[in-house]
Amino acid sequence: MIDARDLGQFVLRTVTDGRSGPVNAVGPTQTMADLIAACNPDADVVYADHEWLLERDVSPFVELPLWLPPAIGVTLLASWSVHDRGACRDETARGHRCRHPDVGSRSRLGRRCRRRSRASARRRSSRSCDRECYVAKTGGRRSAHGLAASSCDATRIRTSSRPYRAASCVPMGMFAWFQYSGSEIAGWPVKLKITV
Amino acid sequence: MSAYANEGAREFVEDVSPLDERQPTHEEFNLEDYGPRKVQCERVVEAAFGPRSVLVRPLLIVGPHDATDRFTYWPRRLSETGTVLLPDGPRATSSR
Repeated sequence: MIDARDLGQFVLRTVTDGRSGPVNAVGPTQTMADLIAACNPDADVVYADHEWLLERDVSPFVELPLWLPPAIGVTLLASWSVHDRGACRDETARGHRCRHPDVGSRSRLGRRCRRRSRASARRRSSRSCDRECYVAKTGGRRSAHGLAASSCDATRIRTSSRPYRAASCVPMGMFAWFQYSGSEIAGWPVKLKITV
Repeated sequence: MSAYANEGAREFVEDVSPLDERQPTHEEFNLEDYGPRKVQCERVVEAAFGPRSVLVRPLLIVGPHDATDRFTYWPRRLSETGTVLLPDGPRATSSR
């Protein structure tokens, strides 16, 4: 994966340097272990194998983000790997540095997470693994529908003073990997991009 | 990266790895056609701009204001209390 800001810088450099042709744009290799180390080295983690998750109908990528079992995710995250010519490695050699995934220490998300962490630590006790699995599954109307948990909160709780009420749309349409189960607020654009 | 053919390859090289050349099967947006449509888009760009074109193939794009919660789920979940459920598998490839 790659941070949007790194990608933006990379595209600008690519264009201003007059380069052309296809180029893979990926960040440095990161593992779940890196992520844990950056966010919360003391996290109490438990690894569940693919079969265990599939037997419990955990929907890949939707209910457990970034997870794809090998049988499904042949070309997706589980096996994504990029050759040495990968853009970021080229760029690193040229002096471009991708940001470190230290979402836990410096970013706004990291600060918010820590605040929330302290608050939730006061009121919550620890959960078992099964409980975690159960929590991860709730929210959707069908087994494959996950909980659409946006990190971007809807801020409007009232409609504006129009002569008519703003339309509140329940999304419908074909079955997709990612489904909203709630209502959308008019004027609050929802953009979903579940593949790359 | 979806432009590359799904042949079980574990790495993709820009000018070498085969692209997803299948014909799209739907007139309108459908995830089954995601790869072939990406390839078609690249062809359109190349046809219009020729050697002046850059075809950037990223993976997941993350960062501030990412509302998809694909990546943000993990830092947030890891910062909360309780046991964190993680998918097993090759530990070195899970979030590349």
